[in-house]
Amino acid sequence: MSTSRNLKQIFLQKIKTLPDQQSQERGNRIMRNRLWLEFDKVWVRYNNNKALFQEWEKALNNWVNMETL
Amino acid sequence: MTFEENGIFIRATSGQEKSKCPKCSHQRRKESDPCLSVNVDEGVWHCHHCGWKGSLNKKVKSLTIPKPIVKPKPPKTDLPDEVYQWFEDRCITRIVVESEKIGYENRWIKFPFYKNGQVVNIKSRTADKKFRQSKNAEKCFYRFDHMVGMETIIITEGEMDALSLVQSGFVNVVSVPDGATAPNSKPSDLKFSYLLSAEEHLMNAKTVILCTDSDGAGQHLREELSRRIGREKCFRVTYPDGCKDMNDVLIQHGEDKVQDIVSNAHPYPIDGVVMIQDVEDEAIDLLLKPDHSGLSTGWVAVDPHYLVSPSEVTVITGVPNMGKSEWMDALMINMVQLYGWKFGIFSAENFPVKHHLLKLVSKFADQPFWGDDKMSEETARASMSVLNDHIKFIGTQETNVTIESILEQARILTYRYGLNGLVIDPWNTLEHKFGDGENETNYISRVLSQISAFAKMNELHIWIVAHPRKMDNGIDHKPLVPDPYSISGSANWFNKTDNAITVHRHKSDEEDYAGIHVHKIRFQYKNGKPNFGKPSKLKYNLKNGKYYEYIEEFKTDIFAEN
Repeated sequence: MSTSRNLKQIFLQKIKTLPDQQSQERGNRIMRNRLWLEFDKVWVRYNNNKALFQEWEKALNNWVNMETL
Repeated sequence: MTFEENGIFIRATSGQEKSKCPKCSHQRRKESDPCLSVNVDEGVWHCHHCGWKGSLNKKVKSLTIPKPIVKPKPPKTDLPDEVYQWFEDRCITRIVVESEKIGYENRWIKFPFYKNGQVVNIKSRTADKKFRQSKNAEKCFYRFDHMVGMETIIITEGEMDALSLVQSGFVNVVSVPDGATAPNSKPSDLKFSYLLSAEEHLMNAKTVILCTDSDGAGQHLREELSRRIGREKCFRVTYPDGCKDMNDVLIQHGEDKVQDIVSNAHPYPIDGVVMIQDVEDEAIDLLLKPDHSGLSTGWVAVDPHYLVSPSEVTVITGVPNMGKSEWMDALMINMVQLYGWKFGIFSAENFPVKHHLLKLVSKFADQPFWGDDKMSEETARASMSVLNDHIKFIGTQETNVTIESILEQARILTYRYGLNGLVIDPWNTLEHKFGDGENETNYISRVLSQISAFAKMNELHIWIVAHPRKMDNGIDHKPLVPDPYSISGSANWFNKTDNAITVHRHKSDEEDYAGIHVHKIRFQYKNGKPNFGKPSKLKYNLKNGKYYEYIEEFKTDIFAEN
């Protein structure tokens, strides 16, 4: 199993746990969006061998935690 | 006798060094502590722990009985053609070589040091950069006679650089005799003994241009020379890319460029003084930046009057229990959510930290942490996980927290995590240590200057929550809105901070809102204008501790039939 497929699997497992409804408070919406963009950038950097798996995982967890609010 | 024979092991070949003491270090608990100070030049040592001291007798003897200064004979100046060619390769012409009376003997090129018309020293070098000087000769600048009576003196790091400047038309050029020392070495007075004989001429000169090499050693020499000569009269040069000294410039760009560099020498920067040319590019960047206003607070009603910019200090005051700390927390959470800012918080009134954390989580998750509809554990944990990256509590373990300890912790956090904001809430819980003969006004003035400098240096926004000195009541017996002049201490709270805000609850039969009174904004072009007497209105939600935009209720029912 390649590393990239592994990441995808972790990502898909994580998003399965996300709730259907999230806080629509403005600050939370903005932060959610920003953390998603940050996670996206870290993933691109990871694919270019410029970020560690730990950074990718932390960015994912931050975004997922924000999505659960 | 050597240092090693005395059990002292050092790396330096000159200057001062600290080392382990052979007498006591092995018995000490902190064995690695370098308690022995060794002066390599003078050959003496002293242990600061056990008091052991001694000297290399030979060396001291040689210091105490100075050897007579020997004047070498002028070198033979009939140079073979290959030596002229060697100089030509470095763009130094035969005319300059001859006028400088450079000699040659047995593969050594000899640079005579003339002082008062007599040769006092000779520095010799080979083509492969081996150097030596006459034994027991006097230390003085190379071309010493050319600095006598000059208003402007150019100092270089080596003889070839000096000759490059002579080649380019400069006369008032001298060179240090021993080149530069290693960047991390401590300057020894012996190394700079050549300055003694030139003291009068350097003092009388109006301008000294330092043309040392651009490498670490050259910069080290430049720093030390400027410090000793006086930075007010020192200028320094900037070499073009690919050149590290004047000879490189002469070889690569020619004489015109050398003249250009010397005539464009910059005054040596003086601590605390900024010249326009130093910040010109940064100011133009600011001008060209499309939007250089501060960051939104997250409240539409507040933004026209107060925006948040880095490197500033804001003081927040208000009558106790009217929500200044709550508003500060809400602002902090807004900055975290909107911009991902990172904060250091000293909040003594909210200790223990767990209470404060729950209050912040409640604002962050937009859910209460108490009552029937309080947030779930999962929500709290998810919020804390996100906030963990953004909020650090400081000053929590000490009983007597001083402003110095807060700033030190903030400095470390800035280094480790890149803080954007620091909150000190409230000011009166800090332990204030007044200096000798210092009153409260002077103390606050001094500390606010310190905090302001810290904010600028670390690009932090610092909020200080401070209680007012006294609460004046209005005719309705309700407390009046305090302004920063009412803060316990002095008017410096208003004068020395960048922004000043009062949070005041306006409650009457008709309305109930939190008023954000902005009294002062220093940089109004980017951070908004104060709202004198017309506060920005926000609605406080007691359940989750958040502030929302205030929507005024209609006082009359416009749909009611007349």
